[in-house]
Amino acid sequence: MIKVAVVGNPNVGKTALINYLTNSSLKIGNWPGVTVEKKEAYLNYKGENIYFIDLPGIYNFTPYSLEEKITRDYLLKENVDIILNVLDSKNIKKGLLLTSQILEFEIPTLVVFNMWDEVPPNFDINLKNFETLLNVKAVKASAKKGFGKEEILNLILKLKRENYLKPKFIIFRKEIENILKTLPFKRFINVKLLEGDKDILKEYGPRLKEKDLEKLNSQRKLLEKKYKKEISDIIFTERYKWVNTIVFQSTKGNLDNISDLTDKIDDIILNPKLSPFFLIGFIYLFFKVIFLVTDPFIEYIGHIQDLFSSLLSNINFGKFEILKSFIENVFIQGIGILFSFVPLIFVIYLLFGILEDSGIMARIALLSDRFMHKIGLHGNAIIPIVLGYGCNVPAVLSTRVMSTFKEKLILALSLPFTLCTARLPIIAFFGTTFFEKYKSLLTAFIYILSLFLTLFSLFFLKKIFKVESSQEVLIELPSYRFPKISYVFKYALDKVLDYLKGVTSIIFISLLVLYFILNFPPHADVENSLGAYISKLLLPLFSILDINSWQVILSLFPGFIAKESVVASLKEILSLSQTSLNQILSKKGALAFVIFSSFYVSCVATLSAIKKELGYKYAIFSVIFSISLAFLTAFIFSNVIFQVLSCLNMF
Amino acid sequence: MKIKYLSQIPSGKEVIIKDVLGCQGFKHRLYGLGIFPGEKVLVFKNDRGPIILKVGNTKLALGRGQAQKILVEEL
Repeated sequence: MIKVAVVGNPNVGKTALINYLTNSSLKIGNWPGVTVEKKEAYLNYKGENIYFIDLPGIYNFTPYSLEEKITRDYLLKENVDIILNVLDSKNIKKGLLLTSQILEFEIPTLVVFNMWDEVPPNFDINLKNFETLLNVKAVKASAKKGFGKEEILNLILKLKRENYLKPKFIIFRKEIENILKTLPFKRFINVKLLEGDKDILKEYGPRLKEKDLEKLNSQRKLLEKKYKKEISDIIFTERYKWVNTIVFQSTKGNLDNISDLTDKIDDIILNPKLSPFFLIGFIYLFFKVIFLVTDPFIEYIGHIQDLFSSLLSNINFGKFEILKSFIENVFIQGIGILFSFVPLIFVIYLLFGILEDSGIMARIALLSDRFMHKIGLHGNAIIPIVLGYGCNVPAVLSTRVMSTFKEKLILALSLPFTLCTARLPIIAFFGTTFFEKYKSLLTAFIYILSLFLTLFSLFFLKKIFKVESSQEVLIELPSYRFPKISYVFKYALDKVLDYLKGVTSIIFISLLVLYFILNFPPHADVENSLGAYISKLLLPLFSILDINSWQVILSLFPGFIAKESVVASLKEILSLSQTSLNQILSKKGALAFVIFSSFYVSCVATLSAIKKELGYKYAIFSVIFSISLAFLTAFIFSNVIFQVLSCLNMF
Repeated sequence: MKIKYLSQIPSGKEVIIKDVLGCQGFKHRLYGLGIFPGEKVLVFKNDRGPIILKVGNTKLALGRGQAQKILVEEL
């Protein structure tokens, strides 16, 4: 098998190119332990198996970002046969800066000038010159227009067959080369050791003799003193010089500032007077589409679930009648929950794919950054937060747009405070029962409270997890292009499978636990169930909130499964114990209950999404955190509002 | 020619990068993106919020604070 690592800057069309080369057999997963996407594909070409791995897009091999580390480690440790270095033909200089570093891995390299169809007609590159200067193979290609495939694949076979083409890396100035000569590793490692790269020093430094390492350090200091610059700056200068030489010697024509449609559109969209309207309009449209498309499906899945339940009820279990409710409440409900999110997740990833592929996502992040920055967040946090007000599950899954794990962490743990639509029935029911006149005021209040809690949680967790204040944006705005629909579909499908794999276990475990709480011991009535027992135990705690009835507390348990079931189960419990809500709950208690039930743990599916994105530890943290904050908020606000309103004689 | 901060350059002007200040990590990120002493850059938009540059044929958005660490010369 030939192992081909595909390396290049972000937005040069690496993924599209692999898709084109392998007839769309790309698989999307994650790198172990991190949330950076891992894309790979296999192809059998002329009897040879070729494995393509799409390494994260990078600009440099410095140790500052996760993507750079992944790419660097892969090239150093995974026995790569060939590097497929993809460049955007309109941005050759920037691409070559990375190429200059890629050559230092001393792996046979094939340079692909992708998007060749987009360069102006007066520009050309002399591939022969280029190949000789770098001792690599080079091809012009366009995944979009569909040319270059045969040539690339044939060159891969050729490079493998001949396996001698060692790239010509940059020869630096004499003083630097003299030092590098004394180091025993691959060129890349030697250069990084000289630059004083922390990771590389830690790993390869100990393999040097102590006196050699000391010598290296003193030589570095000497050079830096002489040039009054850090050594990495000197090396960068040499790289830039090399890039300019290569461009001068192998290209003709001019690539300067190609003004295209993208510039014209950006001129309008990024105009500060118009941009807020675009942003709001866009986000509105995004949600409209999501719920318009998914609502019928979700209903449909509900029907299928009902169908299974009714089929089940017709089966005679005889002695094992108790099994029936177990199957219904754990398995059928579990599968129902699992699949009810599938359409939503599919459509959202589809839209994400389209937005990212088309270049729109980067603009949304940029436009939102203007105000998101004020609350200490990156612009891309807008999407998960707004999504949360529809449904928390995709919101949590979409936190992958955050660039660092810690930012993702605090955002994912704050999202359960965004008021998803499933919580509205609780507010409506209690509003009607207790605060008829102020029903809409109550709803508005809970929405404002939700926004406040989300921001408070972000702020608070930022302190707890010591997240540095978010840095300013530094993002590339890729050219607009039509997304490749077949790829986007496959991407969304892979993501749905990934979701199902990640959340199934925790959904069933939670349902199992809840089943026992609500149905143990068997054949007992509600009053004597384990759930009622636990609820009664919790009474002293909840009496702080002026909630003095175990029935009301019991209804919170099914709320773990889905918030909308709080009302249904409350009604059922009340009818079984033959009382009415007004008799067992005060207005103050009702207010506290609405607040508490709106914000304690959003639901099993959200929890499973948190577990999928962050792991069990943080899922448990989320439960404890949201319950505590919900309780505290319910206590403070029910008391304050009750005091104020009784003074005004409104209660 | 007078050296200015990138943040002071109005939309539509072309500049030559003179120097990048700040820590090593920041400098290297910008170098990788094509912002390097001696390179030409177009200020595509500079009004409110992040500044948008055109480096080669790539558009880049960077915060005002970062733009204040980049010294340039107007062309």
